[in-house]
Formats: sequence, C-alpha cells, structure tokens
Amino acid sequence: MHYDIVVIGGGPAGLAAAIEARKNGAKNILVIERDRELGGILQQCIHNGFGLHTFKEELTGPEYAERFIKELITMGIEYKLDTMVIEISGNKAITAMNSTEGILHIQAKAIILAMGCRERTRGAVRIPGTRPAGVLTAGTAQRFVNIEGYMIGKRVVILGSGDIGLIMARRLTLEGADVLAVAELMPYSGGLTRNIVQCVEDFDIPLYLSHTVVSIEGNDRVKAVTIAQVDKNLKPIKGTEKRFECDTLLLSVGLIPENELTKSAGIELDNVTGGPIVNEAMETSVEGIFACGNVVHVHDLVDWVTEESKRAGRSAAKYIAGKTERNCKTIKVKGINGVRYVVPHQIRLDNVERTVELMMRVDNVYKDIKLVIKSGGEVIKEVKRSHAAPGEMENIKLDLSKFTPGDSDEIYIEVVKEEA
Amino acid sequence: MEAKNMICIVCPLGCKLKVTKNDASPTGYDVEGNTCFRGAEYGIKEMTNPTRALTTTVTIYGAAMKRLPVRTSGTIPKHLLKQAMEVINKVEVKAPIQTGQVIIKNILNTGVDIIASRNIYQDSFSLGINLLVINNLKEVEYAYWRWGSCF
Repeated sequence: MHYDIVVIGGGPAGLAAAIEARKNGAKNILVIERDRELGGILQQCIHNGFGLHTFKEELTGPEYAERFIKELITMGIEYKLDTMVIEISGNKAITAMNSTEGILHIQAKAIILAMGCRERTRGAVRIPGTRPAGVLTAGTAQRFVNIEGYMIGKRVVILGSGDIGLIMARRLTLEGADVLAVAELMPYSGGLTRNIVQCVEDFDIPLYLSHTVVSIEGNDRVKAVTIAQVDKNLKPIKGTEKRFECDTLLLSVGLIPENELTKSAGIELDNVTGGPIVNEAMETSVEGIFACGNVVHVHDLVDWVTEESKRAGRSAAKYIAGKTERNCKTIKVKGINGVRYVVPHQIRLDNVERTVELMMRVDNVYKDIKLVIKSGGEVIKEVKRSHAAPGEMENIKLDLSKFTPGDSDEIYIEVVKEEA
Repeated sequence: MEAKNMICIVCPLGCKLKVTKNDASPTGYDVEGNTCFRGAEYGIKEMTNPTRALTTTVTIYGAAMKRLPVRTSGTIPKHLLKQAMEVINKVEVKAPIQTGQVIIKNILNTGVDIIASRNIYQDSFSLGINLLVINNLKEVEYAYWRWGSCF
C-alpha cells in the first residue's frame, strides 16, 4: 500500500492535520485509528468548554470531534479503525495490523504522528500500600462512566488536581458518589482555573494543596486512603495524616506523550516535554515525519491542538509537493529562567511566512511578569502576564518578518519579574 | 458593604473579580478586575442568580455505546443541578439519536432543554434496514465511522 500522507491517530490532532493537508492539495491521505471510532479522547470528554477559540462557542468533546469527523468524511479522506500501528521506520515504512486485514505494510511519502498521550499510573508515582481493586486513572474512570456506563465507586478520593481529576470530581458527585477529597502534591493546582471553580468549589469538595497519598489500605477492594501534607522537598510531614474511608482512589497525576513509535523511527526526543523535537513546520528530526498535538507536548486546550495540527498538515502537504526550503538558516529556541520548554524547538527562517507561534510553559506560579524573547542579548519581544502557571500554556505569536538573526543562532525566552 | 472575591470562568483567562454591592450603579453592583464585558456580567450573575451548564449521560439502547452524552441547551440555576440530575437519570433512549435532538423538554420549568451532544447510530442489525432507505452515500459513510468494525 502506498499513500502520500499517513496520519497515525484519529483524535483531534490527527483529524485536523489530515483535513488541513487535504485543503493544501495533498490527495492520497490515510488516517489510522486504533479505537472503534474517530475522535479520540474527546468522545469521553462529555463536559463543555471545547472550541472557545476555534469556533467561538462552548462545545462538548463529542460535538467538537464531530465537526472534524464530518469534514474529514465529506472530503473523502480514507481512514482505518480498530487498526494498530506497531512500527514505523525512518524511511517512512509503516507496519500496522487489524483483525480483518491482518498485517499491513504501508509506505508513506510523509507521516504525521498524532498518537496523543497516556496517563501516568500508580506505578509511575510510586504510592505505597496494598494493591487492591479500585485504584484507577481518572481518564479510565471517565471512559467507564461516560461511555461504557459503569459507576466506578461510591466514596472516592482523588490524587492530583489536573483537569481530568477535577472534571471527574464533579462528574462522580453528579452521579451520586461522595468525593471526599482532592489532594494535590504541589502548592498550586495543575488544572485550569475554571475547572477548580466549577468542579470543586461549586460542590464544596475539599482541595488539599501540598498533600499526597501515603497509604492505600484494603485487600480485595480499597478500604481507606491516607493523605499527608508535604514539605518543601515534597516529602510527607509526620503527624499531618488524614485517613479517608473510601472504596476508590482516582489518579490524575499527569500525562506522558506516547512516543514508542517515534522512538522506533529513530526520532530525537526532548527530555522535558517527552515528545519529539520539532521545527516551525512541526517536522521531527527525521525528514518527512511530522508530529502534532499531545504527542509533542501535553496541551490543556484542544483548540491549541487543532491550531498546531493544522500547521503540521499544511507542512506535510508542502513537503510532498517539494516546496519546503531545507537548506537555510536554522535558529534554536530555548526556554530559560522560569520557562520550562518552548515548542517549536527550532525555526528555519526561510520557511516562516510572517509569524511563528511559540507555545511554552512556565515552571511555577508567577504574578506580574514579562515573558521576554531575546536573541544575542537583544530583546525582540516582551509580553506582559499578570498571572502565569504551569497548568496554563502560554502562546506567543512572534513576527519574524523583520528579524535578522545577526551572529546569534539562538532565541531565548525567559520570565522577568516586573517592577511594581 | 456586601463584597465577594471570585474567579471569572467565562473563558480560560480566569480573571480575579471583586464584586461589590453598589445601589448607585445601574446594575446594582461594581465589578473590578475583569478584562472584558462578559466578566462584568458574570460577576453580577454570580451574586444574583448563578447558573451553570450541565453535562451528563443517559442510558441508550440499541447502540455500541451504553451511554449517550447530553447537555443543557443553555444554563440552569446552580441550585437545580442535583434535581436536574435526578430527572435525567430516569430517562432511557433508543438509538439512533442525532446531535442536538431534544431528550427532555423544558427541564424543571427552566425553559432549557436537555439535548444530545453526539450522533449515535443503531447497532449493525438495525443499521442494515436503515441502509435500504439511505440513498446518500455520504450518510452511509457517516454511519460507517460511527459503526466501524460492525460492518
């Protein structure tokens, strides 16, 4: 089988990338999805708040997905469901399998990686205690409750105040469970502010900041969970323990980009984001393999995933048409002094039409700061923020039409405190 | 003076508002800290009649999924959320369902409907009969992605 562009993953990233590639002239496109339907995780995110930026209205996850799925189908873009990609090679050969066609060998001219991310589990955060049933990741619980129709418990403690944890606190409360506590290791929540207000404060669910789970009790099923306050080094403080009798512990302790396939293709990864290193075209270190969405870095709004994926789709179409400028000045983009990471990592100046969108996260909660973009000691742009937190991604559009790199081939972005 | 600090949740910015009662103001309240007019509206509403959108699921039969996601067509008073859940949890529907289809009309006399937030097609057996009446190939394809492996 031969395709011009193969998109791996049929979630929001893959859908937007495939549609945009078609709009930019690519014809022979295939989307491969491992679930029984397109849409990815959006299908289980039945809460609203999606699409405020893209569609200027508040949609639920399934509604947001449906707009893209309809468009994809209307365009006649091919896709395979229930199909698992098991390997991709650096020369863009894909091995996939499903139960009707067996093993598939697909050769692509360009590949777009859109596999999304995975939840961190109990093992990843090393929680002590027994190993009973009833310890689930929040996303798994979300699928059980919202799609499969199973209630996962009656008395619930949630560890982690990421968005999925907060949303599940509200969801389970509405479905009649008692959510006894949400414990967060850090002194601030990792979720969006509106989720803290609407999901936790609205229902009077106690949010314990700087707390973690120190023990799980129970043999067959969870019987109790003990949380304790942590000190500056995130170590539990003796004497601060609180014990909750409960039957379920939900974990919302972070997401990791899913990059097994990326590694098999020999693509270079970034240690901070856990995703591939990409340039302004969302192209990875292997020519013709692009990546977008949560596989590159975990986003908090699907709108930014769509935005980023459109760029990947456009770039892939441009690449197979042979219009990409490859031999030109490349500058590196780095986050320092409070900026944890910046995507894209590299910018090939001749490929930038006018502006490039930089997405970044800060490493702590800050008030009244400037995000300062510098090159060779010179300030290119400053953006003021009255509030910045790791849970909220920062987007900066950088106009490079008048930019001359000079001697420096690096751009730095840092957090600078504003003088009052 | 009656005042309340709150975080605006109209958009992801999360402005920190301070809403103070002020009988001299035409709206009855002063709002500080907002960066747009919607923030001011939100602050006043939180003091007078806080409302929320509700999203949940209802049981669906004759489909691959066991639950149909639904939402309120607008927002309903915050204190009615639990009562609304009780009404919604009694409802069961049969596939097929179209996005936007009204599942419960005028819930708790709020003037707001409970509507489906996705398409769900019937299972493969019923779908076979459906195909006889669907002439539009696009719709068949649309059914395919909802149905995938069952074909």
